[in-house]
Formats: sequence, C-alpha cells, structure tokens
Amino acid sequence: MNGFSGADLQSIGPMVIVFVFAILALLLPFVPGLGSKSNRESHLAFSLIGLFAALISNFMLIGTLNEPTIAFAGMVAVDGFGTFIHTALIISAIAVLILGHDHLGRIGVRIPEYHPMVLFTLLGMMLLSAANDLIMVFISLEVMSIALYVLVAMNRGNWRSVEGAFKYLILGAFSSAIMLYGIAFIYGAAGTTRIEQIGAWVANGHFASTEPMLAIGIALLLVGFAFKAGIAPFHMWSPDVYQGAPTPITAFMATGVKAATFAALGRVMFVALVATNVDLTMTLWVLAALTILLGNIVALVQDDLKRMLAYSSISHAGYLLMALVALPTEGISANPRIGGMLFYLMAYTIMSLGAFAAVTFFTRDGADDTSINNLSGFAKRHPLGAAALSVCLLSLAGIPPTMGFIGKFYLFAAAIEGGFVGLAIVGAIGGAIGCYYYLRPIVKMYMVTDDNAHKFSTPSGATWVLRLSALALLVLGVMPGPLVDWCRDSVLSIFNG
Amino acid sequence: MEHLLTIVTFLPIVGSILCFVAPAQVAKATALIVSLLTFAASVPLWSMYDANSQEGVIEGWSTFQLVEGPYPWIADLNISYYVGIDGIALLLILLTTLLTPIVILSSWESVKKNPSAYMGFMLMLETGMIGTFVALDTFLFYIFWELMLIPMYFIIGIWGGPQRIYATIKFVLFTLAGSLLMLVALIGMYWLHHQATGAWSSNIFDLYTLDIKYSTQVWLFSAFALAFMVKVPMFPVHTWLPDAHVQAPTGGSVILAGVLLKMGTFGFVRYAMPLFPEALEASIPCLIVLSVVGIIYGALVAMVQPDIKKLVAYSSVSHMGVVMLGLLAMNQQGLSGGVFQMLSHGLSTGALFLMVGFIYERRHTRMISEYGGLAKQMPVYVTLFIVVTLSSIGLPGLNGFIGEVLILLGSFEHHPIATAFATTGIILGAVYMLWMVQRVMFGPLTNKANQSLTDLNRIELLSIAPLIALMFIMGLAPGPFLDKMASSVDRVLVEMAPEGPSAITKAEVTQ
Repeated sequence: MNGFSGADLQSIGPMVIVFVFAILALLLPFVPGLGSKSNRESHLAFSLIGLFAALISNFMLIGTLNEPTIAFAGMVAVDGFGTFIHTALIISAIAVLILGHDHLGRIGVRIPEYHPMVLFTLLGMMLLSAANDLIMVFISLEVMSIALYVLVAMNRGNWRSVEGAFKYLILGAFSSAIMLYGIAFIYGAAGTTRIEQIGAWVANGHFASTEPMLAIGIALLLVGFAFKAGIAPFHMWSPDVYQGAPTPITAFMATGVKAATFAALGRVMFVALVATNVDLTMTLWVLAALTILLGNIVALVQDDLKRMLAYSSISHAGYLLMALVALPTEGISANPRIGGMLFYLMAYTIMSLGAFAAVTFFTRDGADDTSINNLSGFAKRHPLGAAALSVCLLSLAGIPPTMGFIGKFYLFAAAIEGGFVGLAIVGAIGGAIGCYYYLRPIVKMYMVTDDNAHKFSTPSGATWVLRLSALALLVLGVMPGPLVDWCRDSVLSIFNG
Repeated sequence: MEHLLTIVTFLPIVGSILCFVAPAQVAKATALIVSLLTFAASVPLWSMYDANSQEGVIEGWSTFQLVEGPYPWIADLNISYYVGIDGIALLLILLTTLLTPIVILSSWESVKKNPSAYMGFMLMLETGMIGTFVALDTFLFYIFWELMLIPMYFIIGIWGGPQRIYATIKFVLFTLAGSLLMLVALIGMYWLHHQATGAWSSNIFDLYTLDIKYSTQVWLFSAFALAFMVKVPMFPVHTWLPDAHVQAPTGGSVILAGVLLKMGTFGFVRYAMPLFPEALEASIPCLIVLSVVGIIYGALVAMVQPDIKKLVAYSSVSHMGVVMLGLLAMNQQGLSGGVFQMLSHGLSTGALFLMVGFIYERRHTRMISEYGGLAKQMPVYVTLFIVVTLSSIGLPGLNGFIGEVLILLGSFEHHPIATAFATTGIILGAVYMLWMVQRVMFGPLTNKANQSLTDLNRIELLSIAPLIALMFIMGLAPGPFLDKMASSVDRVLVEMAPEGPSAITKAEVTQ
C-alpha cells in the first residue's frame, strides 16, 4: 500500500508532464532574457510544448494500455475512459492557450501567470477524470476550481470579471462543501471511499441497513457535480461567470470543466452506484429534461453571443445527462450506446472551442463587445471564418453532416434503447428550439446587409482554432466510425478494472 | 457503370465545392456544366432501370435496382452506405436533374449578389435531393434529408425578398420540428428491429419486415407523418410555404415547388405508409379530410391573392392536396396517379415560378394589378404562359390531366364524397388560374411601365422549352412513365395493405 512504483508514475505520465510544465511555467518569468515579462510568445511556446508532450504521452499510453491499471494505491484509475477524456481536455487546453494569447493581449491583461494557471486547471481536470477515490475526486475538483477562480478574475479591471469570479468562488465553495458532506455520508454507509470498492459493496447488497445514509450521500454528491457541470437548477452561477470571464477561460469552462466533471460523475455512476436500490433514474430524467429545456428556452432571448453560448452550454449538459439516465442497472455492457456520452463530449468540446474562438474576435477598446448585431457583415469580410463559424453553430444545433448530429443521434439512441422515449422527444424539441438561436448569428452574418464587422479584426491564432474546429466537425461528422469505436471501447474499459 | 447512382448523387456536391471557391463567371459556368453532366449521367438510369425485371438484388423487392452496397459506414451502429432506386425514385431523380440546370440557367443574369455561393448552394441542394431519393438506409436518408435544408435556408435567406429572414427561419423551424421527431421515430424503429431480431439494422428492407404493435405504430406513424406533412405541405402545417415561396428567389421557388415539396409525398410512399400499415389505415379518414381541406382552402385563398407568386404558392397547397388524395386511395390508379401528378406538378409549377420570375426581372413587381394586356407586348411569353397554365389546371392533352384523372378515379372507388369535394377544388383551380391569366395577359395595356417590356430572350426560352416539351410528351404519351413506375407502385401497395404482406402475396410479387 505504501509508496509507489515506477509503473505508477509511468501510468500518470501525461499528468506528470502537465504538472512539471505548470511549475516551470510559473518560474519562467524569472529566467533572464528568455522569460521576461513582456516576452509573451516564449511563455506561450513553452506551455504549448508541455501540452503537446502531454498529448503525445497520452497517445503512447493508449498504445501500451492493454488493461486498465489502478495506480497509487487505488487513488487513480488509468483506463481507456480516462485517456479518452484526457485527449479532449488537452486539446481544449491547447486551444485555450492559443485563444488567450491573442485575446488577453487585446483586452489588456498581460499576466504571465495565465499559462501556468491554465496548466494547473488542466491538471485538476485530468486528475478529476481519472480519480478512483472520492477523496481524490474532491481534491482534484478543488485543484481545478481554485486555479479557475484565479483565471476568471484575471481581467481585474473589469467589474464583470470580478463579479463572476466572486460568484463562482462563493457558490463553488458552497457546492464543494455539499459534495464533501455527501462523500462523508457515503463513507459512513459503505466504509470506504474507493469507487470500485463502493461498487463491490453495493453489488453485494450490504446496504439495506444504511440505505437512507447512502441515499443522502448520493443526493449531496449529485448536487455537487450538478453545480460544477451547470445542470439546472444548479446552473444559476454559470451565465454570469461565463460572461464575466475572459472568453478563452469561458471556453475552457464550457468544454474542459464539463468534460472532467461528467467523466467523474460518469465514473461514480458507472462503477459505484449502478446497482443501488436508490433509483436515480427519475431524478436524472427530470434534471436532464429541465436542463435541456431551460438552457434552450432562455438562450432564445439572448442578444449577446457569449451569453447565448453560455445558456446553450447549459442545454448541452442536459444532453450529456441523457446518457446517464439511460444507464441500465445491469451495467454499461447492457447498453454500450452510453459511449455516446463520450462522443458528444468530444463533439461539444470541438464545436464550443470553435464558437468561442469566434467570440474572441469581438473586442473593442479593450473590452468584450459580443452583441449578436456585431456579426452583421462578417460573412462579407471573412468568408472562410463565417463559413467555419456556421459549421460550428450548425453542429451545435445538431444538423447533419456534422459531428454534433452524430453525437445527438448516439445519445437519442442510448435514451431510446434504455426505454426513455419521452426524454428523447424532449431532446428533439429542445433541439428544434436550439436551431432558432443557433441560426440567428448565421442570419446576421450572411443575410443582414449592414456592416458592423469592420470594427473588428480577426487574430490569426483564433482564426486557426475556428477553422480547424470546423474541419474536424465535418470530417468526423461524415466519417465518425473510428471515433465511435474508440468511444465504445473507452466506456467499456472502465469495467475491466 | 456499377456506381452510376453514386456518381449522379455526388457529382453535384463536388461541383458545389468548386463553385464556392471560383470567381463569379467561372462558378456559373462550372455549375451549368456540372448540372448538365449530372443530367446526362442520370438519363441512362431510365434505360438501365427495367420495371419488369424479376431478378432483384434484394429479396422480395425486385423493383429496386442499380443497388449499391450495403457498404459498412458506421460499423458500431451497423449503419451502411446503401443506395438504389425503384421506378418512383427514378422518375423523381430525373425531374431533379432536369430542373437543376434550368434553374441555374434562369439564375444566370438575375442573381447579382455573390453568384459563386448561390451556384454552390444550388448544387449542394441537388446532392441532398438526389440522395434523399436513392437512400436505402434510413440513417443515410435522414442525413440527405437534412442536407437539403441548409442550402435552401441560405438561398432564401441571402438571395430572397425583403421579408426573407422571417421566411427562411419559419421554413427551417417548421421543417426541423417535424424532422427531429422523425429522427426519434427512426431511432425507435432501429431499436425495435434490435428487439425483434437481436441485430441492429437501419436499412429500409429490414424495417419493412418488422411486425410492430398497433399502439407503437400510431406513435411512430404520427412522427413520420408530421415531418412529411410539413414538407408536402398539408393543411394546417402549410403556413411556411407562402412566405418561403414569395420571398425566395426564382430559382429557389422553382426547386422548392418542383422537388422539395415532393419529398413529403415521396416520404409517405417510401416510409410512412408501408412501414406502418395498420396505423395508416386508422388515420386515412383524418388525412383525407386534411387533404380535401387543403385542396379547397388552398384554391380559395389563391383566388384572392393580389401577388402572382403567392397565388401560385397557394395553388401548390391545393395541388399537393390532390396528390395526397391519390396516395391515400391506396389502389393502383390512385397511387400511380399521385406519383404522376408529383412529376406534373414539378414541371408545371416549376415552370409557372420561372415564368413569374421572367416578368419580375423586368418590372420588379409581382402584383397582378400592375400588369394587364401583356399579350400585345410579349406574345411568345403569353403563349407559353397559357400552355403552362393549362397544364397546371389539367387540360386534356397536357400532363396535368393524366395525373388528376387517375387520382380522381382511384380515390372515387373508396372515398366518393371526399373526391366530389376535391373535384370542386380542382374546378376552383381553373377559375383562379384563368382569372389571373386574364387580368395579367389580356385587356388593354394601360400601365405605361409595361409598354416597353421586351419578349423572352434566348436564355429564357432555352430554360423554359424543355419543360413545355415535357408537358406535351407526358400529356400525349403518359404510357412509358406509367410503365416505369407500375411494378414499384404495385409492390409498395402490397406493403401498405393493412393485414401486412402475407406469405402468398409476397410470393406472388417475388415470382
């Protein structure tokens, strides 16, 4: 139990790389010449090298990962599920660093700590999605959140940023406490915090006498996760925080935080709680339906692109939740369509990054100016950018032949297979509502003749993020086969551990 | 020519990509050449398709030929690339490939704003339309079905009239609301197949064999029917159509009326009706009433329209109601009449929108009151316009007559009262069309602005001539067209029969 081996270290290679680079990036400003405070390019390059190294190490890990490993005395699970999420997270972090480089310069935030903070957040996310112990879940969630509080507040001169950070901090601390309380209850009932041991304990049917305790624990844990993932009715913080944070950080929260939280929630559900008598189906059904409808309906009336995407991100959390509703009590292998959650996470990550990359274009006089009206004339000035943004928006709306459609198809299939046709219909209605507001920016770009877009320039980094996202969405939308297989294998691998 | 169907389907979208990046003149030429090539490639389908062939690749469905696949596409979900045509799809594909070059030709001068993108969207739309007709995998079908939506959204939204944004959003939302529910129903079918056989399959022939509980059928049928009713469009979900038509540019209107509306009726014939025979039987009275209401309501509303384009748009609601009536007769005359009328309506309404576009280009108004006495100024135009009008109202000798007679014959057998009402609607059709012709074409040429109007130029003549010729051909010699679809119609009718295809009937068909 004590100590750890080289194999342990090797299995968390990507996380170690991120951690080392985060520490070094923090020290980089003190390196004379190379790392001087004004030399932002070298900071970016350094962190990107770290991320690419982590990505490569992650892929190598996938290649060598014959069977899932539990490392560090059961604290961390290294399996296909984790490495899949890690891929999405690292891609997201790379995009966020590139977006931040241009964007923060434009809004006058030239803080070298941006890069290490993003890396620390990433580290928290990666640990969260690999955590195999509720204590580890809590610690990694805090690592992620504390770094995020700093990132949200990074634009100190802007009251929205400070307001967002303050809200996030207060409510985040509150929800962390609730989650910790839940973990305590579960520990009290099961006598362990190891996820797979809880699963074994539950499967043995030992919980009859402590069932109320377990139920309270699960409920509190769920609230904590719902808060972090922005699931209604625990989403109240997210529009303000999303709007207040610098746009690249908003993108990071919408993609990375969501992916990591859902990974952890998924792991807890799949492994620990799948066989309990505590029937979560109805609760999750209601949460999913509420989240889908609320996010979509409120997004309808938003005139600000960034805020609209914030609400849309709420509705997408609802779609992701559909997969968990459909989780059969016999375990995932009875409904491998749940792999659709991973596909949707990857699709959502790519399309959100694309859309938020476009949002970073719209700054004026050092501040965001993201009203939808500013998009008019965009197609004329930047035909390729407008086409790419349209692809991202159509994918968010779930229209084929984009990745977003395949993702929705997969999730609807999972829901129907689980017998939740009603939820699939709610999802379809939500999708139809969603189309209206996703089409609005396209209308502005292509069909309105006044030209507001001339006031804005398009930095090359963000443009490339946008273009590559659109390309990936189309390619993986037409040929989703390999990714679909990877998702299914990943979600099934969680069991072999 | 093993992959001819695939070539016909994807040639346009390849051209579309070229158009998007090419400068205006090159894009126009590319679009024309690609659409003509597509047409040329699709013509051999006519001779390659043998309606009387007894050797099908697909068991029990010898009417489906030129089948390609199934090639695995998303292996995990057992979704494959699987295409093929029956006689009905064959005719609709030819209609599509014929109308597209005509539309491109007619937009040659009239589209001034970014013609490259316009041509690109047109060709993308063509791939979507052909793909919808050829798809034999429901997943593939759905992808093509939605692929049609995006180019049309842009065509109306960018190149349309003053109210284009309202019109295009209404069009998209109506269509999507229906088709998302259809998606849920499609996944439901996919799952039911797994329940029944243990294997996942989304190909249409596997789904045809399913024996679905009546209560489930009702739900699935409702979802499919709603999606298709929006496209047809049937009363009361037709309200997007007048807006979309009036705001769309001429080319958009032609394709919308010519092909896109047929997607609804085609969907009924290929999917909604044969998949759920019992639910269909139960809902026939309701659908018949909606069709007849559509026929009469469309005609009455068309009569009072001051705008020619809106008049033609409402006439489509009326005419497509007639098509639905034919399909719902569920007999050989009714169904083949319905399919024939789909083609006829595509030709004549497509031609009407073209003709309206011609004078709109000259005068930039479509108000009937602005015109009058055009016969003196534009004799060729007026002659052709009258031919098209007569075709639309079903004069014997022209295409419209054949379809209408077959539909009324077929429908009278089961639903005499509804047919009687429908017939009054058709008479009303003659009234509003001829009245419009009289007000626009004849009488004194009072409006000064009309006195300098020029007659049709060569491009315009060239684009309308094939349609006029086909109206005569289909009207005078409907035989070959009806022969091509006869076996397919019979086969589909077997599938639609409420007791399901019993072993005997199926054996008869496959012999």
